Amino acid sequence: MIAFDAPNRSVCTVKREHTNTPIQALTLLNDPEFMEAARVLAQRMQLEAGKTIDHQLNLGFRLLCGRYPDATELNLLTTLFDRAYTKYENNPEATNALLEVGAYPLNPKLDRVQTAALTQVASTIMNFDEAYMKR
Amino acid sequence: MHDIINESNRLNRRTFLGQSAGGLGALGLSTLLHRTGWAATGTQNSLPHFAPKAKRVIYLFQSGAPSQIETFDHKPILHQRHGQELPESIRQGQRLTGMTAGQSSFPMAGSQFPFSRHGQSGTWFSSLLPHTAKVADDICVINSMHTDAINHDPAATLIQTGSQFPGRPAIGSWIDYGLGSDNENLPAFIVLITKERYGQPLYARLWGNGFLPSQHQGVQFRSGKDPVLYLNNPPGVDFKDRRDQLDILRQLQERQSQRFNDPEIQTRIAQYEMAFRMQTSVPEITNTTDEPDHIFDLYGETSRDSGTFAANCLLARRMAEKGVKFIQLYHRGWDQHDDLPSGIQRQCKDTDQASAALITDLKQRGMLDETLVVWGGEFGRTNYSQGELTQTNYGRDHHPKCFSIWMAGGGIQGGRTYGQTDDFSYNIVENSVHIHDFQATLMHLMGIHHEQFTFKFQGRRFRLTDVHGHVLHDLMV
Repeated sequence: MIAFDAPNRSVCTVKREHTNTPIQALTLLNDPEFMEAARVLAQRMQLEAGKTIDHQLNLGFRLLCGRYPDATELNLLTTLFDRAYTKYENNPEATNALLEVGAYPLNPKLDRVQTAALTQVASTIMNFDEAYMKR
Repeated sequence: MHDIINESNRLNRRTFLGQSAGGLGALGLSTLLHRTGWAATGTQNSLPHFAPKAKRVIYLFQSGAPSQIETFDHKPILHQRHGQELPESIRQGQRLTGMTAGQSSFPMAGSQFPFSRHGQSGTWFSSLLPHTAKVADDICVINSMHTDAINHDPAATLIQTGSQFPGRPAIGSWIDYGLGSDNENLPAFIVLITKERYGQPLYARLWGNGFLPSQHQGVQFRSGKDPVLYLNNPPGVDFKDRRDQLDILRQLQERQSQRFNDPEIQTRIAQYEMAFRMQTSVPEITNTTDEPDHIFDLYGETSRDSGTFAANCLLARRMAEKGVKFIQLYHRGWDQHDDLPSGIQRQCKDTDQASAALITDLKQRGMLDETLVVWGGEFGRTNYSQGELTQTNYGRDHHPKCFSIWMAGGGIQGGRTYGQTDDFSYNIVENSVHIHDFQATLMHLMGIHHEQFTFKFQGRRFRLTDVHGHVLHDLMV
């Protein structure tokens, strides 16, 4: 939490300091804990939203941002998903490596490439302003 | 009126970015967004105002307030009158902190550490600073610093931000905002804190951006083996995947920015691009295995141990080489209210060799002329003992009316001692230097006229030095 300049809990704090650093970006993008969360969310998107990718992306976005994506946003996320899907489809090693991040068990019933590509998308949404900024 | 113009400029910029987002490469775009400080906006106030003497600053902040009496301000009379009462003619009713105001006696305490002159300049140093003494002719010791605050937090906030009240931008943020970066791949303002040295708390607001755009806040590196965590992409994610991800993320954020008009979103976009570039640029700096043994020897044995003051000094030099503009170190533990002799010995042992090594190292690389190095704390310490005084032990309370710092390089004349205190190191008798004067001088060395460099916030134009500050031309080469 030091990266996010959270106050030390030994003293009271009237107001959190507003900070916005590249260190925070690195944490949200690369910390294994966040990647694990993205992977588990990718599983949930498949388990709860049915087969179509639109529904899966909609659910992931809503869980993180509290609203559904508009058409442009959904379009951007779909573009990202397609690129990631193509990559992981052709690169099983990378797929395995990504899916091994974190301790939470991988659901063996789900398509590995789909989970990997959705993990990349979920991680992106987790880094979206609206997902972690209170406004 | 100005606000309206600003608003229309911002909208124009956004329209421009929106229209060209597809056409510009990510790198070009991020450059536009991130590093164009004031300097590049081409306004009539564009910076620097005049040719700078210093290109960068390394500020070795000694948090807790080192005693001037055991380091630079040689006062034999305190030694001769060890144990005698501080004359009222000297104190003149000055208000003391609650820590000693109740004392029935104020016995003066002389330094336990002998002083001698060093260098061609004959600068005085105590025996606690043998290495700094060797660079006597490269540094300018200022013995006549004074401040408005008598407690750590307001005093540190004042010297770092120009105000005792929290919320103003740090010096480094002003510099970053005004002059931009010399290296697109690293933050222009980096903060390093010595590990395992505790004392007065350090808050992120000491290197905060205040009302300036938040991309100008200092970026704190961790003190330890990995100064920045999570530099590597997750397993299975390569450079291209990350680029794809950031390109989509940027487009999402741009729309968000249009929706909310919150400048923080633009900053966030810039910080994600900076994070991306830091994934390669940071390891180049923090991996010191390419340093030869004689460099580690110069900085001292502890420079091999990441996170120590010595290791941070070495990192600071590497950052300076890479064009980081403002490198802010913090070393805590100088608050010797009691057991001062043993405490200050430890502190000097931590900092003396590496501080001097930094000067020597910059000089041998031809960088000292263009790098301003500052060493000092937030105030001084009392000439009388806090608590019991014995022949060999005593403490010292906070003293705002005089303290010592040194500056070197970057246009500062070496081999000088500037300013003078009275025989008791209590009041200043010659060439007093207020915090704002120090800040005005620092700005001047960076090519900035401190009175003209302002930022409008809540209807008022603010500057680092508020309505104060005199540039000390006398100290310059």
